[in-house]
Parts: sequence; structure tokens; C-alpha cells
Amino acid sequence: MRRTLYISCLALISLAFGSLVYFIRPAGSSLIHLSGSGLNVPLLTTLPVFDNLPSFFHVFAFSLLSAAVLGLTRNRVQLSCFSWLVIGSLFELGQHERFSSLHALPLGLGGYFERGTFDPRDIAACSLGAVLAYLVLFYTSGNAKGNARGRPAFKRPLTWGLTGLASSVLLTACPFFPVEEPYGSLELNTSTTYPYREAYVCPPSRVELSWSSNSARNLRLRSEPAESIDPLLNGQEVEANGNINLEAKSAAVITLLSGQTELDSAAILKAPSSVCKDFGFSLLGAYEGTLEQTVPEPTSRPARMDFYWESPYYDEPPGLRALLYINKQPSPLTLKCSVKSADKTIDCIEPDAEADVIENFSLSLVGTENGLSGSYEGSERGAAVAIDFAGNVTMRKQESEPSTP
Amino acid sequence: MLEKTARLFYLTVVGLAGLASIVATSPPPPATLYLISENNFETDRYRYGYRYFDGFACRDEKATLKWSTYEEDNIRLSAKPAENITPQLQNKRVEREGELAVTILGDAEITLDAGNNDGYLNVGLIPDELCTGHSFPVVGWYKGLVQQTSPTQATLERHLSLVWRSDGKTGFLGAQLTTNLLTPNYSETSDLICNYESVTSGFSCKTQATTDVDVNPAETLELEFGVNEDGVVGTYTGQTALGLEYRGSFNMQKQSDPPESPTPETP
Repeated sequence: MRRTLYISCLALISLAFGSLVYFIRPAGSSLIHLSGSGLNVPLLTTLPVFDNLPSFFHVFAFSLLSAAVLGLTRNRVQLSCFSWLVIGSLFELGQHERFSSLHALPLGLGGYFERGTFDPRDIAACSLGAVLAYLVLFYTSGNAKGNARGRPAFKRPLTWGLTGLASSVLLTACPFFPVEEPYGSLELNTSTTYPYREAYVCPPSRVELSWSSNSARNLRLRSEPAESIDPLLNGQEVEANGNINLEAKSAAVITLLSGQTELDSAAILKAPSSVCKDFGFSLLGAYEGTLEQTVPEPTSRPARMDFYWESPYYDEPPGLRALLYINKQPSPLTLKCSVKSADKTIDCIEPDAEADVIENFSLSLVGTENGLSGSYEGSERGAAVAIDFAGNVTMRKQESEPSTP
Repeated sequence: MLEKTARLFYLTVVGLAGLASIVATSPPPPATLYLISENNFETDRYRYGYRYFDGFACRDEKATLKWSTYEEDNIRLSAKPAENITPQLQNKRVEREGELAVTILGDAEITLDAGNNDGYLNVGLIPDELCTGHSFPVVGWYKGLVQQTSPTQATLERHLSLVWRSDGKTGFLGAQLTTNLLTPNYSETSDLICNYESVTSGFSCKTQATTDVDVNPAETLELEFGVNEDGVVGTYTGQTALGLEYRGSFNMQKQSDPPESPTPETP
């Protein structure tokens, strides 16, 4: 009787430990709304197995409680531990998207399976909980001497535990339960464009290459043709995340590989000669200058403009685009531009005329010795304002890298 | 025999407790509970974000409580202090989604008791001077014309809302001037915070410094206005994102509160 009481107390203490996880977890992460939940204990919450502790303590505690009720004979102890191992594992498996038909179950079970996230480590935690509960019961119930044949009586429970652990490992590799494949991405940044998998440049030109992957195992970078890129990228191993400044001497395709598997590729492409040569300098890049407003009243405003060549996008053909930052605004106007090489002129308009507070913006530019000049017009619309404006613009090509706006 | 029955009973209890504790650790979907009043429109929930926990109303105002939860059974509404909401809620049993016409008599905390997934709403009273003294409460929404006089002439049809809000500690009067209050996602809007010494001396509302990356710090707007027999009338000055300065006047008429007719109480 006293032994049963001790075991029950141990079970309740274990449940208290399991519940503690919900106090320490961020508030709102479970149905149990405990006052004071969301305690900040970073040392614990960052443990990789922290989220699996409730599964462990749950199976451990209820195995002890069930055995205390059923009786501490060897078979009943085994039945208790094995039953809670199976229950815990089935409830975990039911959270996998393969079993979405369980979402229709009544009594809150459907919601449990729908909202839960399948984690094979929880099955491992259940297995450890069941085995540990059996060992505790085995040694406290006087069965430590083994069975009549003298074989260790915990051989079978250890087998379930190992089976559970092996299952959790196998589940991560089983095609029926797909787990995260290695993936990675590459981005090219020419400093005047948003990072993307394609970058048009007027070679030679500087390009920043950045990459990220969920695995650093045998991760390599390669470019074809190799000699188009300086420094050479011919399969060097790299970290899971990183970036490198390259000089693009010509067009090239850069590939991110994990072993022999291609995770992603990015292309450095040559922009048309109309933007690379016809103005006497490469149109692509950063410009700085001023907008001299003449209407409604004379005012001068600093401006920055970044020209880039955009890849085809859905129905949009490739073409010259500009980002115009007026008065050090954080968000630029995106302009669509057309080039007339014969008379060295560029006409730009804001394609989505009603997308922003500045509407119907247009810009006409002509090439000069060291940049561009021309005129602009548009209107500003706001909650209490409607103003048409116009003026002249002068922009100088910047040789150095522009600061990030 | 008796021992066997007791053992079976205890085993059942342990089994059910074990299963229930597994299900109880599932993450909850959020319950929502909010107030629709002259001050709090339904669209405010989208304009001010989903975490909109407070509702405000004038004393004795007829408002609508609205809620939804994923829980299915035994959902109840209650208020503390109970006498500040009429009809008294007193653990009123309700459906998982619904609305209820109530009269706000004082500050109250309303609870949607939905098992493990309760919803809470703090209901507060708007200062009396913003509710009485005119033929209409000052809080609410207005529609009218904005006449820009500088740098160019323009006439703009606009909506203005004056909303009593809370930053979690103190209440304040906020204003929104916008192209269309009823379609908040597609309108150009200025958010302002208002000061007033007395309702009769008038209101002054200004845009505030913000860390919101979508708001251009160059853009400013300031309204000065008073209340007349059917709305508000005043002047404004401001600066656009490009730094253009502008000014003008406005005259707006008070509008009745949408939605007009809350659903009657269900037994």
C-alpha cells in the first residue's frame, strides 16, 4: 500500500514537472491557460528537447498511475507502460497531415489532431517515458530478481523502448512521412536592384551573391563558365549561409549544390547594348541629383535614382526600370522606362498610376556627359491634399556603390 | 468483487485523465469578443489591428456585443460588475458565434467563458463631454468636403472618424481623416491624436511621430475644428511626402453609426 502511495506521488510530481513546461512556454501556446504563463526562462526554452518534455512526463506519470491502480505485478506493470506508450504514439501520429480525416472526430479530438504538429521526437519521448516508468516500477515492486527462468524481466520493455526510438528515427526517413528535404536559395544583388535569382549587368560589374540552405553538409558553389566570375567558383565548399562579392566579366550561371543535388541556381545576364553602350556609359547603376520644382512653387529637392534591367515577369516583357527616391523618402517610386538610343533619351512613367500618394508621375531624360537631365510632372494625393507638380531634374552617375536607402 | 470494481473505476479515471490531458495541450484558436458602438465600428477591428481588446461607449448607449469561438459547448457571457451592462449577462448561455444588443451603464469587463478558450473585453465609458452637450456625441464618423486653398485649389470628398481609444494606460481621442472609412484597406488615411480643453473651445489634432516604416516622417497634418449643429467645421495645414506644404478648411456632417440595427437578443 505504501509502495503504491509512493508511486502515485512520484507520478503526480512528474505531472507537475510536465505542466511546468506550459508555465514556461510563451503564453497562448496551449489550451491550458495558466495565469503567469509565458515566464521567460531562455535557458530551458532553447533546449532542443524542451517541447518534447510534456510527452515524456505524460507517459511516465500515467504509466505509474495506471500501474498503481492495476497492481504492481510484472504483467500489469508491463501492460500499463505499454498502453501509455501506444496511446501517446498514436496521438502523435494522428497529428500528421496524412491522417487529416481524424480532424472530423468529435469531443475536441478533431481539433487536437488539426492544431497539433507531428514531431517524431515526441514518439521517442513517449518511449523513454514508458521505459523509465517500467524501470522505476520494476525496481520498486520487488521484481528486480528477474523471472522464474532467471532472465532479466525488463528485456521486453527495453525492446518496446528501443522499437519506439527506432520508429521515431525511421519515421523521419519513411517516404510515407515526408520530412524536410535539403533546400537552398541563391540571390544576386547589384546594389541598385532588389535581391533576385537573376541580375542583368553591363560587364564588368560587381555583384553580391548570397545564399542560404537548411543544411551545411557538403554545400558547394559552382559557376559556368567558371572564368566569367572572379573569384572562380568551381565547387568550393561553403557554410549554410553566406555572401560574397563577385566581379561578373560576362554572363554566367551560378549553382548551389548539396552533394550532387542542385538546390538552386542564379543567372548573371548581360543587359542590352542600348543601356550598356549607347549613352557612352552604362545606364545601369545609381544616380544622385536634384528635382528643381517649378509648379506649384519653386523648390529644390534632393533625389536618387537607381536604374536596372528587369527580367520578364508574367506578362511583362524585360525592360529598363528605375527606383526614384525623392527627398530621402524611405520608399521609392518604381518607374518603367523606355530608351531611344538614336537621340539618347529615356522616358519613364509610374505604371500603376493610382498605387501611391504620388500619382501619374512621368519623367523625360536625355543623356549628358556625366549623367542625365530632363523634366518631370505628377500629382500628390492624400487624406487632405491634391496637388499637381512639375519641374526639372539633373542626375549624375555615381561611380561608387550607393548607400542602402 | 468490490476491490475489482474500485480498481476498474480508478483505472477508468486515470485513463480519462490521461487522454484529456493530451487533448488539453493542443494550441487554442483565438476567441474574439468585441463591442460595436458609436465609437467602435466593426471596421475598426481591421483598421487598428486584430488585437483590439477594448471597447468604448457613451453612458447609457445602446451597443452590440459580438463574439466567435471554436468551442462548441457551454459558452457563456458574463460581466463584472454585472450591473454596468444591461440586460445583465449573468453567465448567459450563447451560441459559438453571435451578437447581443446591450446598454452600457458603466465600465465593465466582459468575459466569454468558453471552457479553456475564454475571450475578454474591457468596456470603458467615454468622457461625458464628448457624448453630451450637442445633439450628437462628438465621437463617431463624419462625411463632408475638404476645401484645399493652398498651394492650389481643390475640393475633396472625405470621411473623418473621431474615436476614443486607449494605449493600455490612458484614454485619448484619436482621429482619422481618410478617403473612405468603410473600405479601410484601399484608402489614403492620416492618423491623428487630438487634444481639447473643453468641447466648446474646440479640438486640435496632429499626426504623431511613429516608428511605422510605412509612414513617411515628412508627412504631417494638423486639424483645428469646432462642433456645430450637424457636424464639425475647421481648418487644416500639412506637408506632403515630398515636402509640399498645403492648407485648407473642412466641413463635415455627423453620420449615423454603421451597422444601424443590431440583432435582437436571443433567449
